[in-house]
Amino acid sequence: MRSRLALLTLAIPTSLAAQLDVRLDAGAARLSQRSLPVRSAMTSALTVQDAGRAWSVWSSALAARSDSDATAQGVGVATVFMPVGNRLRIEGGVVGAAFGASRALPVTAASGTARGQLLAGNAWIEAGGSRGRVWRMGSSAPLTTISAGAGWRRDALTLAAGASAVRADTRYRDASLIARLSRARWELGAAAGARHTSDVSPGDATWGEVDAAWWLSPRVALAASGGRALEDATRGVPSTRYATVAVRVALRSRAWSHAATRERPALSIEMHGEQQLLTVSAAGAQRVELMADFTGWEPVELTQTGASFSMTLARVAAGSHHVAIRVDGGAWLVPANLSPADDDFGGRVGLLSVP
Amino acid sequence: MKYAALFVVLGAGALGAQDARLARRLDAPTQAAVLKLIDVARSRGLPTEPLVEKALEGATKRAPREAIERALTRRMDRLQLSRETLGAASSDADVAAGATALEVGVPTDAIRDLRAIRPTRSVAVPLAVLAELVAHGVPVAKASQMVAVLMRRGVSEGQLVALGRDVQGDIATGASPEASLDVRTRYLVAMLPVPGANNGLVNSAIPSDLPRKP
Repeated sequence: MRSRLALLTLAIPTSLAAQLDVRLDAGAARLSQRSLPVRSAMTSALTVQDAGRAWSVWSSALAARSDSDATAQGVGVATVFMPVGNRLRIEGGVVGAAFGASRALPVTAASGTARGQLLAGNAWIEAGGSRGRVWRMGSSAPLTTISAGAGWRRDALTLAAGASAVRADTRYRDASLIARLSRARWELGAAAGARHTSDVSPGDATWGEVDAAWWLSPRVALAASGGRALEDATRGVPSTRYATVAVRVALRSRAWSHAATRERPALSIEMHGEQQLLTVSAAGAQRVELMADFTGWEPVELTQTGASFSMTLARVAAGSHHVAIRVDGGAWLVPANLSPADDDFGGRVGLLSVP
Repeated sequence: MKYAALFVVLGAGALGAQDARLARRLDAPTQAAVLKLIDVARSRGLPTEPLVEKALEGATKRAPREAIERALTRRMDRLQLSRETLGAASSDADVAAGATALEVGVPTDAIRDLRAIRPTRSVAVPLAVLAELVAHGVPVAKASQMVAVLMRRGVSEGQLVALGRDVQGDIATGASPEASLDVRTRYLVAMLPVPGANNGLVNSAIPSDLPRKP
């Protein structure tokens, strides 16, 4: 069988790229979708996020064609993030998706989403939902989802669990578990779940996916993923078994090269009313954590504002304090502008004087 | 008597909080060893919070029990020496800052000199800045002398911390630690009011108590 492959690409204005965190994946896939023969396909995915983490846009596209049929699918998600104080984050967004196969009418879906996340140290809980419509075979049906979940992040490890209920032209309930590990040069992810569908038989099904990426340089990685995904009624996509390999290109340097290519982050502490504002400047970083004697040596993630990361502290006692910071899950560092001292455990800490 | 009872209750609460943190982060044998050392420190009248913090730091860094015990013993010894140097009436913050200064190589004579300048007020911030400067490569004698001069001139704690930050910034851009401290101190002294001058509006030339290059 001769296959002709097509790649769907999305473009962004290059003038904006410098202000954005942009990642582009381009690769090949082997996939099997319900009622369709096994085929090869070209894939692409684009993630765009602004430096201040106020919004993000994510999209992916896949196209395959053979002598007998052709399929194409795409999804786009735009999300706006709104922090409310230090503990609450609200997200709102829109999702658009389409799936088409030759000799069949396309399935399209569109919805609006909202979610609230309550943060407590390394853990969070969240709840949300979406409303929209699915257009299939010339008719449409309302789409409603509600979801809830919880997660925990420590060092480079993130664990999350969630449950959702979907009501469209079919109804089902999903439960899922997700684990992600992100180190300096590699990322691993695994997800698995189960579904109960009340109006079809057999009503229960399971799914699982794994993915990995290895950063060859600060901007280029090899990525692979595979698994089984169930039908996504919210996006009109049928159930799929797949394996993909891709090249990932990031427009901004990944932080594993931070120490080699950029200045080490610097830390400052200033009075801010009755409290103190601790700020770490770390251009190019995506995540900064701090631990110190005044946090009980518990890592605390700082809130990002542009190229700076900060946290508000209740009054830290005047005198000498010991601190260390970590960028994007890398090694704990002494901030560039602090004096280093032995920590008595074979490492170093920074000395911070607080007036 | 009422206040003594309140002190006992508050003290017990603080100890309970310390114990809870240790119980949550340390295994039972390590916790027992740490509590034993903390009891020794308490019996000597030393601040215990720096020891709890060191134990928590060891737990976060996954240090073995022996390493945590060694680190706590070293810190307790430095706290002891700091208290002896600064005087029995010194605050816990002063004693802890003195211990950090000792840790980076500040001699007891220099700590004693700073206490002599401020016999009743806290020296936690001057000691912290002194420790910073020494850890950043400023010779101990020079750093001690400069901090002492500034304290005698009535420098504020905020100005002292800013001086340490400025010197570190200069070093980061390639300046010699000693030369940077020299220049920054002279600049700061010039901005400080002359003792006895009206409203502090009269700025001095370089004062006579500032060490001069030979």
